Amino acid sequence: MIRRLTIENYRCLRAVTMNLEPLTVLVGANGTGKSSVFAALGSSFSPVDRWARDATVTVRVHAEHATGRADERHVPQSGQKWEGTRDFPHAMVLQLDLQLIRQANQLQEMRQLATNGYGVANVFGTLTRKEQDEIARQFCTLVPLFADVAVRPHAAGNHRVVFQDRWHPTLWYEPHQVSDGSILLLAFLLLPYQSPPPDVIAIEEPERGLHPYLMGQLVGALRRLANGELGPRPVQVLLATHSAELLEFVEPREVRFFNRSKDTGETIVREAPVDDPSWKQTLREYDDSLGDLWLSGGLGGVPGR
Amino acid sequence: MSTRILLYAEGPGEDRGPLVWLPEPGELLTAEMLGPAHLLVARVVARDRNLPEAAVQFLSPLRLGPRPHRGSDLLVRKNLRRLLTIADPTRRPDVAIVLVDEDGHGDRRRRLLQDLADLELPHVIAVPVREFEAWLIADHAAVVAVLGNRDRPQDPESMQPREAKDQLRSWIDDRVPEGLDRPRRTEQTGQLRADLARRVDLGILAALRAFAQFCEDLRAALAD
Repeated sequence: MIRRLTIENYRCLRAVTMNLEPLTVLVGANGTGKSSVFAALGSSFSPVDRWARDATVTVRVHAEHATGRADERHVPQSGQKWEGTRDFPHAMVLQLDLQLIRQANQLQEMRQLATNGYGVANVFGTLTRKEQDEIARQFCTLVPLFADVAVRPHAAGNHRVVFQDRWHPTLWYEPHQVSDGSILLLAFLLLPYQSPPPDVIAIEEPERGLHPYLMGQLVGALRRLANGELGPRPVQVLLATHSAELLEFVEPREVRFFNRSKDTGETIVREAPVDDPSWKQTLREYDDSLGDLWLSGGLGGVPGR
Repeated sequence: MSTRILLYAEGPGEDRGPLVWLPEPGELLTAEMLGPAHLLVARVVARDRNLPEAAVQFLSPLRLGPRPHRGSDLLVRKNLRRLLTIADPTRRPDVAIVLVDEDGHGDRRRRLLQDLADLELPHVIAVPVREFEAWLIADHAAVVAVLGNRDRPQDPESMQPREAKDQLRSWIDDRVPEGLDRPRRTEQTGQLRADLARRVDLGILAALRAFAQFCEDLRAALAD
């Protein structure tokens, strides 16, 4: 698990160091660098990713692990790709595309979703019957309009996921007939069952399309993934969100607040001041609602002129 | 040296300038974001602390949920306490000022102070009698300079609720050219109110009981 992450000269992250938890949530206005943290952990690099597009700077990502090990990779001056530690943590940065999640898959064994969400039917179909049943059970508990989830053959060697109506057992819905939130939820529920699991999963706006009531279940599932209660080993989870509801289900120490410096434009990351003597009283004034406290603006990570 | 103040008032006529999209809560407001209440308070603090007015800085207010506060929020204990509870210690002001009209409720200051009794942040409850506009029109010379020749009003603190408000509105309506669209009218109204706040004689205001009380409370809070 990455305990401390330092990123230098990558997009707006000129010199950012942040402590990470098994589950860490990034909040901030649009354009404050949350996605850049995810991208810095991903595999691709483009020259326009350098700080201020300055070809003379070295881009560097340094990860200190809970075990004491440290990995580093960098793109040297005028370099075009990442160099450095071979076993730099493998991060799966999800940028889920609803169209692709819904798309019928060319039948093949697949043990990991594509980062854009393609492959739900293949990954689901590759799981054991027991794992499929467990995912279907979790899904139908959270979206009780449905009684089951299965994969069915489609045209010309394709198959797709279908959803059984709770009240009419012969009625199965196609992926495009199911809500965005439901389809995203199914993709999230597959994450712990991927093999081999990545070291880190980063998800942008996991709340997209989800009813606030489901947020706690989603965060709970991701937390179990992060703690190693699901799957063969813990997978560190990073979330970027604009959802105050999601913050109701995480601990203050798990949240990082993103802003841009008014002077230089570089990203500044803050933690909640949980060691401040008045922190407990502050939280009490907000009825222990981290979401409300964040929206007040007193912690940072909100828009402003 | 500067003095950092977090000020809440009941409406845009008091605590908003022409620029209404503000910095992140806890960051400094710029001059064009200041309303008449800020301008008046800046003059009082600058005088009392022997500072240039520019050294009196105002912080962008907290929000309640995603929305800016409303005037009525300042009268609700829970909301007011939240607005004065700033999580990040580096963003806290030297003093918070809550400016609410008395509106004929003689116990308003006492009740609000009671609501905030155990609050850590130094704070002052300013309660103009009956309303903030009474302070803006208290100095007849300032009124004439900004709005042209006007009858001298009676003692501002003996007016009925809304009387000072309505009086000032009618004077401003006379002054603002007809036919302006609403945004321009609002802008000019704001400028005239701001001009009054810049010009009103603090010595004349000091004769008003509520203003004197406010100045005394503010001095005490900043001395702590």
